[in-house]
Amino acid sequence: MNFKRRLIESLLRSYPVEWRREYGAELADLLATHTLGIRVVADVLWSGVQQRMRSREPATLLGCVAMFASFALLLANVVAPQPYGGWTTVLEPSSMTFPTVRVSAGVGEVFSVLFVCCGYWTCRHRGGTQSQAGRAAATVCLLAGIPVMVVGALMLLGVIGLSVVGPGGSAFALNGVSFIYYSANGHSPSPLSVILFPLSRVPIAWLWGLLGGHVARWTPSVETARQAKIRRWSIPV
Amino acid sequence: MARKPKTGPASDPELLILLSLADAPKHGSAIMNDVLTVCDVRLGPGTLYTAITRLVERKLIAPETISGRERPYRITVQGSKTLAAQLSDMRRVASIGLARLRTA
Repeated sequence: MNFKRRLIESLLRSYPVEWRREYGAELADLLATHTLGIRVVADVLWSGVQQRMRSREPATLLGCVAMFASFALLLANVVAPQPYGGWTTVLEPSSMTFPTVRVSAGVGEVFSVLFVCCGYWTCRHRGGTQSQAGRAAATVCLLAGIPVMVVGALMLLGVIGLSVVGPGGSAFALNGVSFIYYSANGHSPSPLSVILFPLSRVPIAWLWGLLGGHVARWTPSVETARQAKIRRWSIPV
Repeated sequence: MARKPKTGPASDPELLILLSLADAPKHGSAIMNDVLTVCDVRLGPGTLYTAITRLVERKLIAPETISGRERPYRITVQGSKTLAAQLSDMRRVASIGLARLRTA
């Protein structure tokens, strides 16, 4: 399989499954006859995003919610930082993970619940398999991580700075645009570790999604429960 | 070679596709080439299929039986009526505009 074919397959993955089933082969043939320049790739990717938004897939909807939430948190962290231990703590140091940052307590739990819900929704209401539930949660994780990766890239390019705030330290006296990193031991993350961090969360998100898929499979549907109730109360003839 | 204009009637890919299918059914690649030849507008493959999806959902065009992998699309009766209405509106606006320019 040559590079162009692989690129076309990757581009088609930006579309929802139902759409691909209907139009995927046609679009693949059309792209095969085109030079895949930046304009064409951007056009196809944008079209894929539009179709995903239209199809209202759980991964896209929850991913957009998660992305907006993490963007809002990061914006609050930069624009209106709180003192150490405040609610604008997004990332914190970790000695147990690679890269050596992790999402702060509370925020991490909320995202875990979101991944489980995504897996559940994908399996239950969309009739997806458990593997699809895991992939959907991984997609949500990646979408939620985009703002974090952007912050890491901006730090790498020197557009925004990094300020480490410890216990008792104030985040208000800082100059310029800085991402506030709350660390008790003065640990300061590298921009690369901030970029890589969301990717390191993908396998965990996949597992949470799988769990959600399992829950969906083991929970009886409303209709099944209703029929069981009718059977229980019906008089045998 | 012109790309899709940002304003004007040629900025609407759905209208261009309806226009292209007005005379005969065509598949995606043929629609793109026809729009490029007739209107001098290059539709991106993604834009083309986003518009085709919308038109099929609104029942303004319909896919024909598949011939190989290239599936042709034809304009429906409703699609013809919509195209005619849009073109009439455009002709009316154009004639008013040109008349006002002549009198100015």
